[in-house]
Amino acid sequence: MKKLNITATIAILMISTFLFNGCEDVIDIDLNQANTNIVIEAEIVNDMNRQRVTISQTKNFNDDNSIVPVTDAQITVTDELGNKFVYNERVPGGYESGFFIGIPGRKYSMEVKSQGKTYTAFSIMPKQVILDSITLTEITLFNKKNKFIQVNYVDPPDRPNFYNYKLSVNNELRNAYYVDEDRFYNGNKVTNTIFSEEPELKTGDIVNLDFQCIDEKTYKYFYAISQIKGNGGPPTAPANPDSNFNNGALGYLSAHTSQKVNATIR
Amino acid sequence: MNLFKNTLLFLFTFSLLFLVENAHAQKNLILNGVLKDAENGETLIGASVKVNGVTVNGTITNAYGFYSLSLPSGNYKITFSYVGYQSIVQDLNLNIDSTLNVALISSNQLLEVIVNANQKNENVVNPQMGVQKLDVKELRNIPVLFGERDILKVLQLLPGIKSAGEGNSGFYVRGGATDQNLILLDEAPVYNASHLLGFFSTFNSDAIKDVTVYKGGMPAQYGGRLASVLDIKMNDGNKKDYTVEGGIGLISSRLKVEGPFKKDKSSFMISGRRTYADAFLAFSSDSSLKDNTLYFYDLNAKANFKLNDKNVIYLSGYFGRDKLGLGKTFGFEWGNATGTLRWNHLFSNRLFSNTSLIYSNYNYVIENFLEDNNFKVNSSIKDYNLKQDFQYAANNHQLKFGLNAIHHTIAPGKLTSNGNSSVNQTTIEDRKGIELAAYFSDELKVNNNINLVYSARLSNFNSIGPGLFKTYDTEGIIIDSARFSKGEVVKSYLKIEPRVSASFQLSSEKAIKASYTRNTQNLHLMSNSTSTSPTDLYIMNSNNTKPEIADQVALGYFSNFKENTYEFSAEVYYKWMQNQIEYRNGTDLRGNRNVEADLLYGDGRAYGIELFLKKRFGDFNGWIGYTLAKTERQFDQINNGQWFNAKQDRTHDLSLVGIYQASKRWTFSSTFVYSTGSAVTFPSGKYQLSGSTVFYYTEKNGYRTPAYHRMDVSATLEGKPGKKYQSSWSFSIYNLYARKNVFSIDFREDPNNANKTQAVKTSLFGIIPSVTWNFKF
Repeated sequence: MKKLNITATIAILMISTFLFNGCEDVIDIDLNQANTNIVIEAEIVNDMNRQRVTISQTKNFNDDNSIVPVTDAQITVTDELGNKFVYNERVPGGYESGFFIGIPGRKYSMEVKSQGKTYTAFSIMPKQVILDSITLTEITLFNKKNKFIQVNYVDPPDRPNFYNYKLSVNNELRNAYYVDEDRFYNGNKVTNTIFSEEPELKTGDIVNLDFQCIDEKTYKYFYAISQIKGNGGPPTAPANPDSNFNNGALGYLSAHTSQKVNATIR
Repeated sequence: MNLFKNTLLFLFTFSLLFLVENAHAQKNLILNGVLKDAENGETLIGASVKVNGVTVNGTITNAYGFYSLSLPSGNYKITFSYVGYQSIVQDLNLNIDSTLNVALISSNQLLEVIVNANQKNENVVNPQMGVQKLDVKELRNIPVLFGERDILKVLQLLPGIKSAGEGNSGFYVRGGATDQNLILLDEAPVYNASHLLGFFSTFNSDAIKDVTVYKGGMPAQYGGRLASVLDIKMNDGNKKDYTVEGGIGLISSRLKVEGPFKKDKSSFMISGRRTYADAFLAFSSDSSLKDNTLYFYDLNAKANFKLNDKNVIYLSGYFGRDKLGLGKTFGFEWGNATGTLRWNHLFSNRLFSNTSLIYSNYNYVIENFLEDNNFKVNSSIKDYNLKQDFQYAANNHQLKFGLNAIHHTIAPGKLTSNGNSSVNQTTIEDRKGIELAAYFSDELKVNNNINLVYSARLSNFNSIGPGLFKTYDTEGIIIDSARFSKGEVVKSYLKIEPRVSASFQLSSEKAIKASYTRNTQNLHLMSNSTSTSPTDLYIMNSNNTKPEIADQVALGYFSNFKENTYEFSAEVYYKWMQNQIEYRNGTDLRGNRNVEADLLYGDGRAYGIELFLKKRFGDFNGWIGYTLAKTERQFDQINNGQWFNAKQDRTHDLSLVGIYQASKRWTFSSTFVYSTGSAVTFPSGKYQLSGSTVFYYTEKNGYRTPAYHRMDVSATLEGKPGKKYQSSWSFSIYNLYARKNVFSIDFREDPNNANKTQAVKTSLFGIIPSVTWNFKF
């Protein structure tokens, strides 16, 4: 249902193109220096035998985009059967578990201890939905044919499903999160278009797609981030997305299934 | 059967009021009548009737040009006056109930402008405060965007009324949101008053006769919104002659035809407007634009029939539509339709009645024509509205009372698809509600110095079935759900809205006024984006959402000087708001069955001072408006429960308007506006997530966009007088010194250096010149 938003954007775009010559300028804004906050990015997937967590800190807007690692954290995951997995720090801020494969349908609880504070979160890995294929489509926008990737799968009717289409082109991440849900097409054979960002796809591009089934909280987390960016519609008033970690941590714990496919655009 | 009980309660209160009035002394005589424009027979709304004699008294004409006064017998000097018209003074020996119908001559018709300012202190004497009236004739001289005259844009030049954004016809009044304005077109509520996503208003000024906005002290006959009432009345139609007028502009053309069915008895008016931005698309050198659609049109029509001296019927309607289309891929259209049938009836010399049947509908349709997932979304809000208003003239009292019943239907969304679309057909349940109100108001002259209006409005809202109603806890989790059958009351709210205003006359040209007003609001606009969109959804009060309440106190000093040539006012106000609505982070309003689960409820407060100085007459006239204000909101779940600036908060707001009549043919004008930037949330930091930058926010609306300022100029050249047809040229320049005002500020990764982030300002308008040719014959 991204298209609903996209329609609105196109409307705004058309109006601004036809009537006004909108213009963009890079400006300097004096932004406050905020206290740093912890950011936990944790994923538990079904196609890896070791799971990873990255812990970092927020930094000032005008700094560069490098990661400020948070070291010496203690991380444990407990599943609903009582199995416990301990993580070790492999690189500064980068943590990895021992042998541990995520199992669909299972609930995982994570505890992170860092700098005297404890943060907990849980996530349930959804049952896997199988991606049948990816296809290429051409859509004419402003009389220009653009190529887009489409995902094809059959949505299971018995439960709400949430998806993330993580797309890389020529080994460069294009959309880290492009979330979708089955609210409007529950139980159907689905063909959805990924309106990826610029630059547009061209013949010879190698496309890698990570087709993920995520839980509702993760869906909402990424949906909130994409909404601030506009997500194809008018942007919403920005705020930090609601994390499933407590105690004011930013980031998320997502237990999800993963199915990776690749293709070359002809 | 709560509903019936409430209805009975209203009727009881109503009849009680009626008895009280009849108990008033009947010794006085009645003077009544209708004020009209001498040239075209249009009734004059809010014109002043001043009485000097045995007693000093006065009133203003109502929405139908009717006035009535209760006076002791004796000799009187009666002055009829109206802004932009020559006053008429008439001597009257009142010894029986009398009717004086008066036709005033427009100053424009006079060869020499005669300024009779002696009786133009209505703004000082009247206890009504927080009111501004727009002179529709003045509009033609004020510069506007693309040469499109727009009452909502001019309104934003008045103190206390602020623009919702660059080129936007949405407005904020005294710290209220855009949906807290009651916008009435011939009594019908207009749910989306903008075209082209806000750049133009739905009101074609050709068809408009009277524009009055109440920022506070709303008269009791109005209810249902917190912040303001914008009451717009359409032209009735020329009762004397057939006239055709219109205009051809850069982006739109207009045509209006009016005339009598039967001279002085009945007339009609029909007025249309269409933009043709898309007509240019066909000629566009950029072939990518050719297949697209982009236009709006609107149509206003009105007819009136004077059956006899006691009965007049009015029928009026509005229909407007915006259409956007992107080749064979997407389509999007929206618009309002309203209709009003009114019957004015004089029960007696003292008792004037108006009965209105009103219909209002706003809907939008979005279509996606892509084969694999084609769909169509329909959404609408529809009202049926019955209003009964009475006006009764008693000794020293002007009584107004009435009843109102509205049936609302909101269809939040119906999703349809066909063929092999992967989209399921889905309908989100309609919501229905009945809004009942009863009011009474008494304006009385306590003594020669004090005028008082005390009034109350009883407002009852019933959320009714059929439907499945869920109850949510503060976390948005469903804790209960119940199915209600058709007509069954889900939840009923009863509110009393007391309102008082008084003026204390210090001299004939100076007064102090004070008022207290309570307003409640039963319909709420859901928009979690930073701008308004035609797809924003209305919801009603329910088992979860309570009526919004605002209490406002205001104090003002009003003074005219230099024989009423100058008008000055200073008003301070403080407003408390309850049950305000915000959204949880990441709320998805599209096709959401559980929208209320994502709502948060909190408080608001707004306060400020408004200064207004106007030169009303002369070759050079215009005004200065300045507002110093603050408006904040408080929600337990937002900003750690701390008060934060509402998005409509602007500390300073200044408007200057100058109009200079250089000669009989040339008029020049200029406007300048300055306001503090909007309260917005900017990132105070950033972090990396899944390989991309995410921004870190600390304080809600803790930052400001740069200040907004702009100057516009215009020149109007009237055709040579004395010809059979009249024509004029309007030239205007919007944003004269090409100020790049902020439309939005976005933060992003630097496209040239992925390791850095940057802030990007988008501004919409450079210098925009325009020209319009207007004609009339």
